[in-house]
Amino acid sequence: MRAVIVLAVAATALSGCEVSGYALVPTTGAVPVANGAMTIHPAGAWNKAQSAAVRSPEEFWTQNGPVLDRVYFVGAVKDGDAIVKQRPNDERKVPVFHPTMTPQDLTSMVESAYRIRRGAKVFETTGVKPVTFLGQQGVQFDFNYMGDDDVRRRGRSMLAVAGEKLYMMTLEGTALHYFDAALPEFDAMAASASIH
Amino acid sequence: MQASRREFVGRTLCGCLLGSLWQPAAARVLATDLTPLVSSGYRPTDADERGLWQACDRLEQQVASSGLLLSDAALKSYIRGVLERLLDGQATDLRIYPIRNPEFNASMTPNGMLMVHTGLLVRMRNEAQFAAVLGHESGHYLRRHSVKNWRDIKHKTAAMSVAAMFGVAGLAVNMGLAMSLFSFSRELESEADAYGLQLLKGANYPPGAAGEIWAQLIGERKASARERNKLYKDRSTSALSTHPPTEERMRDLTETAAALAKESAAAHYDARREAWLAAVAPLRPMLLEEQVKLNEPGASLYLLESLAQDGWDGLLRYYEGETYRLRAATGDSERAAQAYAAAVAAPDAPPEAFRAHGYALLRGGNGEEGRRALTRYLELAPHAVDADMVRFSLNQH
Repeated sequence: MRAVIVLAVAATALSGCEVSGYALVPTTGAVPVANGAMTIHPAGAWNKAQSAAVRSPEEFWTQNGPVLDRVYFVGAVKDGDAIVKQRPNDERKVPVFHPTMTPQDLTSMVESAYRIRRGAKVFETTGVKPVTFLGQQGVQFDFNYMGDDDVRRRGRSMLAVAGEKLYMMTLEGTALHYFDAALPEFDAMAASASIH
Repeated sequence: MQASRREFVGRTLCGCLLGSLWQPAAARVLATDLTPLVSSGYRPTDADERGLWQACDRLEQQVASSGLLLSDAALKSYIRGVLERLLDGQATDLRIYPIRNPEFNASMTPNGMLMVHTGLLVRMRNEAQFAAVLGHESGHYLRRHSVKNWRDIKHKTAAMSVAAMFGVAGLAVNMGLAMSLFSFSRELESEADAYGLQLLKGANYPPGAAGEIWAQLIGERKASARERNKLYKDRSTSALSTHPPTEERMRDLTETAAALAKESAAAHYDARREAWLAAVAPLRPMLLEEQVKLNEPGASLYLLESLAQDGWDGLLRYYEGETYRLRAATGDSERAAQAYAAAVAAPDAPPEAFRAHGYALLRGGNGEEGRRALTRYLELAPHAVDADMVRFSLNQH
């Protein structure tokens, strides 16, 4: 396990995220995520990244290391804010959130985040459908992508707007094994999620 | 681990060290007295070059199986045709690998592996411009620049070689050596520029095409800087710049091309624009999607307006709307709506333009027309991956 974490830390450092360590997520009871914006009931053993991401809207967990699988939580994003931390003069900016966004606006915002921040060179939408998330009318966005590391990954984002704020959970994992392995737990966590 | 190694090898051999990328150029080299140092069927003889080729062969095996490869037989056949125009029989020594990557780039390894980024394909306006890049890369190949660079690096200190592998940050350990390394690379780039112009001229492409590329890139960068309220900076001012000194390079290329044209004023050049447009037309939706979804609106709008010089079509209008939609600045909703409306009025509008048009109308309060546009989208793309979502939106309004 330690080797996995060391590898995970190194890999995440290379990808630009500053991860200082991981903490095991309690497997019982409700757990606040995304700076307390949401609460979920974890399924399975997950490790929460301790990082500079505390100042960002993102929080991520992993089971087998961030190269293999991650779950992101983004909560209570206000009108005009982005789902990632970015500077005003960045050459390429992830589109900011607006409460009036249509489903295609929400999904292309996530796609741009992957292309800009995760270096996705190939990005394919495989499904967009209406779902209930956080008790709200939401969107389930399924996709796959590949970046410079030549590893095909799959992803599922659950998005909902409540009180004019955006809430999002995303699972990403390697198309070979890890995405499929984590998907049932992710779906269970998404079903258990609630807003504070 | 395999993946990270692949990335490392790719960057190191083909990017930083070999200088075979479309990269910095130094003082102008005249396009005279440059003869090929590689003949058809050339194989390396000494240990240095054999080692280099073996490393590149291993890299090529990985590239050939990469998921980022654009497998398009028609495109590869077209590129081979351009290479044959430039190099005649020697083109058979080269293997072509189009790569999904929105950055403007191309590279050729010493063993004859040509990699062409999709970000290059989207920016070229005619075959002559594309041939200018291939000519430049062929210049590196035919003048065996990589082995020269490789030996030069080997003659520097061992510490320096290791540092070089880790890029500019590592190079800071010895600024003097780093400067000489980059200066040398720039000389080779200038030689490759000059050699490329010779090849262009020999294939009856207008030599001025090479300078046009840099004018377009400068225009795009200036548009991007303006968009962000930043001053455009020609990055050649940085001694350690890994980006092209574009103003200077454009000037050199233009002057050399003019001199070449003067030598043979009667030559009939053909930029083969129609052939180029026909070759990239099937790829254009993918190429524009890659660029526009990066949400770099200044560059994207510049590119779209460049491509629309001969008139806007449904596809270009759709991506103009997408650019405004993603930027979402004041007034962009209206600009996007106008662009989508223009797109769906064109006979070649992609189905997605109707979806975007429909949502724009719904947002603008025009429910009836919005529903009609979304319905049209579902008619055109009944099995679309977001059909359920669009049907749901229809039922809501």
